[in-house]
Amino acid sequence: MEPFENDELSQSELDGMLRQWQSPPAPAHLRDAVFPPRAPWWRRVWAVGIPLPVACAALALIGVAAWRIPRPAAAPPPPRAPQVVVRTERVEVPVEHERVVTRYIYRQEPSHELTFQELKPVAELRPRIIRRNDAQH
Amino acid sequence: MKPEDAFDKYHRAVFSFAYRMTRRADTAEDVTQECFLALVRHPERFDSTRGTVKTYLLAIARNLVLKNYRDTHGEDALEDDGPTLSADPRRALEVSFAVERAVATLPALQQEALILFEYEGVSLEEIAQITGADTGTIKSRLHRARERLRRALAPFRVRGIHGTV
Repeated sequence: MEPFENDELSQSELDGMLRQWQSPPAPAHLRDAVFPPRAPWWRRVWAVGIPLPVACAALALIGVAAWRIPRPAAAPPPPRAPQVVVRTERVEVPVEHERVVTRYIYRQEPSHELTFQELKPVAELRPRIIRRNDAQH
Repeated sequence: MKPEDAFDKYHRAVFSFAYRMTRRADTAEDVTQECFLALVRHPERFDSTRGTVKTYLLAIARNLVLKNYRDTHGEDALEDDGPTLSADPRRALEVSFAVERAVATLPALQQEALILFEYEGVSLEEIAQITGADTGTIKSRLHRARERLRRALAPFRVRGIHGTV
């Protein structure tokens, strides 16, 4: 059976049919493929890509440089640093004991002259009669 | 616009366009990835005076799709008709499958005009920017594509495959 020969869809019918063709959604992992999540720095260091010829050339250069660097011929060994040994010794040292000399120094007080005001009359007069030793005689 | 923002905004349109042009999800995925990697690696190649980010990305996608098309169909196949749609509706009972097959029978240049205009909402002027053709040519391709689809899809109209409803 030849279906609907010489038949055509109207513009609106065509629009309706076109809308029924859906495309699948974009996969979620597409973003990670375009923008890969950043690895930690220590993984990025190891992930640095170096072309093999560059790596080989660098190794060869390092080897040649190490071979060509002049080495000091029979250089005397560097003086050893003096070893510090802590030793404790007991040393007897004669000690002179100080002599303590005690001296008494008397100093005469400066003369003190009595003033007239210091002379006060006694409150009770007690006269004492002192006999002379030769009074018997 | 940063590439991340452009991705969030346009990756569905690019993927959808690539899928409808190639009808292969894996190829559409590769095309979408290449589009945005091109934007990430060479952002200076985008010239805002020549179009929007969307048209720039769709133009990259178009070039990749057409390269894929030439690789599989040959260099001069862009203007040729696609594979013939089977007249037997029993092989395509779903309307969506029938539409997909009918679009596939269109020449590649008509396909891209139709898909960009009908499905991605791109204007005729923008399609002209994407394809490098003038607007009149795009309009003509779109008209011819729709005329062919009106005839090709007539057996699949809503009243039923065999016209019994």
